Amino acid sequence: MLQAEGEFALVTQYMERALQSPLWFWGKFNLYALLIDTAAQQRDLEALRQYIVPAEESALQNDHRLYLGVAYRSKGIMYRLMSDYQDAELWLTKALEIFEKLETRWQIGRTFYELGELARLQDNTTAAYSYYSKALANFEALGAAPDANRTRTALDRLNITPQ
Amino acid sequence: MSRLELSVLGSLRIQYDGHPVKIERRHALGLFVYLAVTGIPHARDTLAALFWPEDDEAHARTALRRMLNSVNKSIPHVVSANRETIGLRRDGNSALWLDVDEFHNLLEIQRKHRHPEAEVCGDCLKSLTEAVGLYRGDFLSGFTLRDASGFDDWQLFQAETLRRELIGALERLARGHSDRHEFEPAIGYARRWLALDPLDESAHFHLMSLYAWAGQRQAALRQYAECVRLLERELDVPPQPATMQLFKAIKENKLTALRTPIYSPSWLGTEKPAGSLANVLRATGTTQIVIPTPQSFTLLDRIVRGQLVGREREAAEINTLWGRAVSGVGQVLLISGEAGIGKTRLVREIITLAEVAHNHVLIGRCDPEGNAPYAPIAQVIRTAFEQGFNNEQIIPNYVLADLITFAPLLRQLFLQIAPNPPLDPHVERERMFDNFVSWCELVAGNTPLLVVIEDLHWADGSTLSLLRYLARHMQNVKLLLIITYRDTEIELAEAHQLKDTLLNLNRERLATFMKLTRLSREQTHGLLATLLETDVGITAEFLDSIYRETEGNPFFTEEVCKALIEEGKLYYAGGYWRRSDIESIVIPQSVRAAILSRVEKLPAAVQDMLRMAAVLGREFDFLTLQAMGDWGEEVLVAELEHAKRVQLLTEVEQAGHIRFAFVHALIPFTLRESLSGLRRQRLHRRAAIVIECQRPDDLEVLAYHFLAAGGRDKALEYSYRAARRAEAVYAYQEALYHLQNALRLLEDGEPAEIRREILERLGDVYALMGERVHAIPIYQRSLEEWGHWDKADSMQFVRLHRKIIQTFAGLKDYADVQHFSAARQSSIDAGLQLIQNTTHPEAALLLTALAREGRFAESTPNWQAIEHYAQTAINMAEKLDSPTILASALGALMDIYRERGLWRERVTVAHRRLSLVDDPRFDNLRERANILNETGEALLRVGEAAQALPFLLEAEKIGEQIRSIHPQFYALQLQGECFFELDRWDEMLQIEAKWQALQQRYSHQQVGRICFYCGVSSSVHSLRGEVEEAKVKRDEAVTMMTQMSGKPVDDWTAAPYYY
Repeated sequence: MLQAEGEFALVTQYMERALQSPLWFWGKFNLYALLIDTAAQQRDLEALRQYIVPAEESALQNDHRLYLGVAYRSKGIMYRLMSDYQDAELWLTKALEIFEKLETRWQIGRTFYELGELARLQDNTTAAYSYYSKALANFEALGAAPDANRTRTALDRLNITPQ
Repeated sequence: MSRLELSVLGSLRIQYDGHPVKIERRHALGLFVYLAVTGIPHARDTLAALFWPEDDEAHARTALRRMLNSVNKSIPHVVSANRETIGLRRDGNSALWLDVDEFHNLLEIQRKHRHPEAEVCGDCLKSLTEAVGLYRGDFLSGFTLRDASGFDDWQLFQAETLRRELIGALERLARGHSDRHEFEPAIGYARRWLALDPLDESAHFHLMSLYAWAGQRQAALRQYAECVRLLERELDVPPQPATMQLFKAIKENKLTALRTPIYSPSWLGTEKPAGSLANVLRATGTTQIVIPTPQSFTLLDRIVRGQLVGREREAAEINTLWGRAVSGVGQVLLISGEAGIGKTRLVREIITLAEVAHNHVLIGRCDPEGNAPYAPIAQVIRTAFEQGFNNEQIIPNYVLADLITFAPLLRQLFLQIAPNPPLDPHVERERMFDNFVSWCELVAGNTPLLVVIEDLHWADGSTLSLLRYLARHMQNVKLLLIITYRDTEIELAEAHQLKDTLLNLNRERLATFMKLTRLSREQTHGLLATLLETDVGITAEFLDSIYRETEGNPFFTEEVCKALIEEGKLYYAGGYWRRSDIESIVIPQSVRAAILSRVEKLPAAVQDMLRMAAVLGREFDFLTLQAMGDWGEEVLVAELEHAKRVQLLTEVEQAGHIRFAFVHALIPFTLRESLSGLRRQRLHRRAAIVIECQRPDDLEVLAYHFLAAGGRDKALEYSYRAARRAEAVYAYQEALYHLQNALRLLEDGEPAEIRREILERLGDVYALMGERVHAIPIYQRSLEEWGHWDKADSMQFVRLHRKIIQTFAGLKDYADVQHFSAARQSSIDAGLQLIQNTTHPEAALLLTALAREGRFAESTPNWQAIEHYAQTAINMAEKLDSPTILASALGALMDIYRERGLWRERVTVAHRRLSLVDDPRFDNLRERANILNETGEALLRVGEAAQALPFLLEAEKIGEQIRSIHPQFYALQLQGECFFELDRWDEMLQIEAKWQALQQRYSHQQVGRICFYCGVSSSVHSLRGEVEEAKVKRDEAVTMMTQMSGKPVDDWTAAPYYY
């Protein structure tokens, strides 16, 4: 709920507290997934570095495809923040494959958006345009208005006239 | 001389010298009747045209001849015929008796009396009674000659004329009897009159008056309601002003006892009033109704009972609540006060109003003697079915099935209804309660419903639980639930459940509380003036002497008045109540003294009968009392009537049977108390023996009487059986009560097996009630009993050890855990020792219990040992080929894997467990739904949301099918999670409608899950940028979470709902 509202700092605070709690019932991979996803959205490189390994390991251990996808996307963002664009693309593409198999449109949209961001940073405006457009199509289909607006803004920034 | 009898008032009967006569042809029969009734000869042509109008003259005359032959053949020599005319012989060898002639003769007799026609003397009554007795039915009822229209018209005319004459006779009979204050026969005749002409408003008017005079105020008001309904439906007119005014007078209790004879010679033609009804009649110009002369009724009949005095504010408040209920906002009202304070009287006021407005009224009463579980609820349900409030077509079978559980007598009406599928005890009880609420909703669907539960201080725990449940779930039902109880009783230890219920209702703001206090001195004056219809003679001194003793208790005041009347200290003379000198009046010092002083003035036989009846309880039936006292029928009837006349007993109708009831609960209580211990015991024994023969299934009543009679063996037997029955309907308090009684009856020397069985059952009931700290020591005692019995099977020990371990696992309080941890360890050790090298279902269950509960007991669980228990249980269950035990053991293993974070392994076990539900031996639908949900949940936790959904949908369906809320809630929650994980937001939000429907009914129990739903829903709205909707949902979630955890948001440790 807080994540959806964009209250990332609070999410991190609560999840870190829950990690310490012996009462947490549903397994820590759940918390790690949320923590890295939040860190990715905040572009918090430190948090990503801290949680990416346990998140990926716990998702793999339980073969939790959704959380694995989240972990890969977060890893891609982490590499992008570290300016390692090649690895970033590799992990984002892996994440996209998982989400497409799961048919989770919001996650697909979000991954396309991140691929767009990556392409934009590499000045590949055509690829960025393509990724943003695909992200937008998914967001619009879901009615995810804030994400759609964010993507439209990104598209506008590319200053490309649609063919 | 032979006698020929012809009866035409009703179906046609002909008898010749006492033997039935048959005339074959219908036209011949018609001809014979026509000749007899008209009594004169008729021309052949006339008869031919009358009976064969369609034929030409020749054919008609031929037919007439044939018919004459037919008559002559059946009754020789009765017809007198010549060439021109035909008639019946009235002389000669046959005397013809015709009931119509006799009817007219009897009516004629009273017309010849010298008194005014309006007056009905004793001889008039006699002849009128005989006349109406002849009238078996309408003229030639069931006989027609369809092709003889002339005859048909004549028959109709005769029938109508005779019917009018009958109505006149019935009216005069009703009047004559009411003149004599013989209200019961008067009412009977008036009802018959009304049945002949339901649109005759004067008949309604008369019947209303008679009911009112007979003290049947509610019946009078109902009659008015019926009159309004009929006039509106058939004629589309309202009643006459006179009828309306009469209704108003009755409703406002302004119709008082009548004291002036309207037909006394001195009164005729004068303007002298005859009581308030006369005033009403005169005011409205209605003078044809006769006001009865008070000649043959007792002095007690003169006092005006049951009037509401000093409760105007409370009555207005109830009216307001009723108004709210009628508008669709369910209300609960709790009326408290001491015995005799007027709770019932006050409630009767709203009952009358509700009935007059054609609303549904259902009344249940709790009794102190041997209540069956849910007894008042059963009474309410039965009454509804008896009175046809239910449209059986629209009551679903699953609701009917549970109604039958509450009221087993309904079973005979619904033999085809199968019981609902079994569930866990707590869930099943909740389903029963829910179905009762659904039924209330159905009954109140179109017509508002008033449910009254009287004397709740005597209610069983199961009834209290159900009423509390109803109170929580009736907010949108057109229902006013009124509950009365004695607040003076709730401090007693036995009433602690009631106290808890009241506290809960108050805490949850579910009810309005109304406490009735004693009347002030002025209000007592008002009550006396109302009772005696005058304040003449109620001097300050007289009032003080009564008020000093009664302290404003209305029932006590009324009983004192009756006692004084019966002592002759209050007497009626010169049209007024008068009293003796104040010095000579001794006011009884307690209500019990007042009751006893009245009873002791009765003939000894009546007193004996009343004391015996008191032992049976407040309400009793004729046959039981008769068998108990070995009375002749007439003798007992006379004694009961005597007790009715002195207003100690009243008649109540139940399921079409007349029963008797003491007019107040204090009367039987006082009478029982007045008996010596030995005599009381003997009477209870007689009651028990009679009831055992008459109603052997009345287990609770039999347990009560045998206990009171000191009949140890029978008391033990019936207590135990009553306990089993109570447990079967989740009435745990009652089961406990009966088991404890049974246990008390057992002495040390008894066979240990019986005590062991009762103790184990007692432990089970405590455990089911959640009173685990009581259950564990009881199980331990049962183990000790086994130890004393050399035939004990070791698996019986294992079972008890398992129960101790399972009960321990449910302990919440740390101190309790500490206290019983040694007992638990001892049971684990002993249990494991006993099952060594054994393959037995009990052994598998013990291992499963250890696997399930072991992880809670230690701060660092020994996972290896715990998993070993589970695996051993699984292996054993497989050997035993028991799918249910295997499913349970696999469930325990799933829990262990969850705790250990072995999510994929858990999915594997879940699939294995799921395969068991297809086994035909696995017939527990509730468990099937659980397994489906848990399989779906296991899949969801490893991200297999799409695979989880079909299982969750099926679980939801089963939950709906078995009317069990928990699987439905859980399935919906998990479906919501699945849709959210799959980014299927629309479907996620679509669940909201289902969820809200469930939430509306079960919000109290399922707050956590609803909270979760709001959280997820808020997330979806946020992600869609729907800020306002998201905020609403988030606030709901936060509020519920805060309420549930009792902590502010920042203190939530796990924050599971911040997803």
